[in-house]
Amino acid sequence: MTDNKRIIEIRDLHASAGDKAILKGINLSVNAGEVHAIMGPNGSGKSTLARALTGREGTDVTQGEVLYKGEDLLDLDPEIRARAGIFLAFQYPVEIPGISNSTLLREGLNAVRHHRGESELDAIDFLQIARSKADVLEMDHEMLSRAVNDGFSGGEKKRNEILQMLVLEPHLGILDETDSGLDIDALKVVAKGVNELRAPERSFIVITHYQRLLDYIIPDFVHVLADGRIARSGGKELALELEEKGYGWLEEAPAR
Amino acid sequence: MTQVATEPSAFVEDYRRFEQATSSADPSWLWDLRREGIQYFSALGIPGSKDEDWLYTNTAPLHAREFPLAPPAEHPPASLAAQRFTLGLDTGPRLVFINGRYEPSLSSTKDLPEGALVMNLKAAFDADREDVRRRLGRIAHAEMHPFAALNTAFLADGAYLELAPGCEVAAPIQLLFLHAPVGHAVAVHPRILIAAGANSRATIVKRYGIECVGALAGGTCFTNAVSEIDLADGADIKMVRLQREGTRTYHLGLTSVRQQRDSRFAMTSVSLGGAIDRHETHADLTEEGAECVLNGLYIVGNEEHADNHTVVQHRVPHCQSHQLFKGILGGAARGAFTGRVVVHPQAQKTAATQANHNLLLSEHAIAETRPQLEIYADDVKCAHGATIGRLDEEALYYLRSRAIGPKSARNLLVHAFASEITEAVDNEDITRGLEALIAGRLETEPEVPSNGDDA
Repeated sequence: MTDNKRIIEIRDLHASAGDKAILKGINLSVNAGEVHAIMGPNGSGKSTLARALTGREGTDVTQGEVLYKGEDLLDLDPEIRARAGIFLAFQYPVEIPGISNSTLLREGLNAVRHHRGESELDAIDFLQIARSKADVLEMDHEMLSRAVNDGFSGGEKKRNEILQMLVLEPHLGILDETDSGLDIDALKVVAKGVNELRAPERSFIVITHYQRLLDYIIPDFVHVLADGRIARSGGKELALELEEKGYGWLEEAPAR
Repeated sequence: MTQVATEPSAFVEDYRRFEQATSSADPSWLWDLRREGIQYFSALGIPGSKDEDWLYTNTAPLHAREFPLAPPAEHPPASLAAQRFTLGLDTGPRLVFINGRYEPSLSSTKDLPEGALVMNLKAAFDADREDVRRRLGRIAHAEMHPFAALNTAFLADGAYLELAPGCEVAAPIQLLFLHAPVGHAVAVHPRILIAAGANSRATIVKRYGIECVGALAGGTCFTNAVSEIDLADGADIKMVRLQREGTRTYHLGLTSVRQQRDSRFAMTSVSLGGAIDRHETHADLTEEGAECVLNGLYIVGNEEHADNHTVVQHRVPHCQSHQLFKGILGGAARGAFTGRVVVHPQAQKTAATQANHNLLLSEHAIAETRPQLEIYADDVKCAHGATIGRLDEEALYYLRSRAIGPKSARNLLVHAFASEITEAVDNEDITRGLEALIAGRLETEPEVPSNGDDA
């Protein structure tokens, strides 16, 4: 792989939340077209990594650097990162009464299009796109006019995150435990949405606690996070090994 | 700001002038009512901040300067700029008043169904209408309320609506009260009288605005508005109150409602600022099955002040009242909500809710909130609550993570906060019209603070 196909490069990333050091030196490179799964026990720093990459306030990067398409990422505001093509599917999507899904999607998509030098979409063109994406996820079109995540079930919220990702068409999709709380049917639909987007120029970081999601979103690489570092990396078979052995062995084994 | 109402008010002096200038041909009962009004006002005086009910309303300016009764407009508008004054409702019945006087050329009472009477009060006085004599001053109690008394003293014109039993008016009836500045401070005392017959139904928009054409450098205005609304059995009246008289206006409004059996009254009060905008709603639920919904939205910035005051009296069993007031406060503005729900001993099975939520957009804005329940019955369902907060950081980040800039994200969230009130108005045109006005208001003041630039 040459550097021009590199989407993101994380070098010695340290981050803390409040006074607590969470990430203690993450090194990870993701090339165009790759899907990387990040697994690990609770508290290992998976979500903090997602927050650091998307510029969440309250997550302080204390050391290291992140290059996104060769440019320094960490100084950019969250909306600038999003416009540049980074998308985070939240573990806990926020409910926003009073703002409709379609308003959120249209404002977001037009901001992305503006950034790319494309013209803004009018209401009709936008609706056509949004509806076709909703169809992929077997979502009722009525969901577009409902307030963002307001009163949605856990499964609907996760599906809604993937809908947003399909509409915004990021270059790097980060899924933060999108599978948690999903039954098998919902999981398949979510995976279908992600697979729909898979393309040679697009990459994903799939954060998950369980191997199950990876049956449907087949990763190219699997990394195990433990105590703020990548303890082990491998192919998709590593996920199966973890499924069998659990995470307990991480505490005994030194990082390799 | 501890005014004691002892000195004779300039309003009393002005009443003498009004008395001399006003037609002695007005019916004698009207003169009796006016004289009672000025007597009650003199006795009650202008309340000060020591008065519990006026704790948050600074009445000092009413002592400090004179507000003579407004003369006719020098340049009355030739037409209503539709979008500014009619909430996008370009057609339909409306009465327009400029500086307190009925303006027939801008009004229209066509297209009203049979049984609906919409006329100005002056015409009703001139015709010495018995129904108006019987109804006026029965619901707003001048003897207990100094500004209702003052309004009554200067009673000269206003709107009169009568709906016959079973009459349904589909199109919203608009009552527009416009202040056309004349170059010095003035007072207007608009009055609305509504008698809704059994099972009648209507939507009424009352709007207080400023007409700036030709006289931008006008003086301040003291608007002292009183509405009396009587709902007979099963009547269903929706009312929208919109106050947008500009940042220099002192507006005191009183809406008094009496509700009989199974009637429903739903009001949405939207205040878009003013030096003072105080709106009081007194609802009296006198027979079983009555339902009263009071919603309010106030958006103030700079040094403006919005004050909402409600008193809902549950006198009988099986009535409901629901209140939701929301404030958006920027600059060094102050917003106050004082809500009282009184559940009388015999009013069992009452259901009453009351909520006040405030969004502070600046460090210097102040929200005061006093939801109060006085419950003297034991089998009731009542709840109240209040919040004062800032924009939700989680939601802000969520929107920004979807590529939306911080300023747009804040605007979206502020509009979302307001939309709970505007969406509850059961009329799409009015909802859209209000949203457009609110958007315009938020573009100027109160400023939505921004930490960064929008790319």
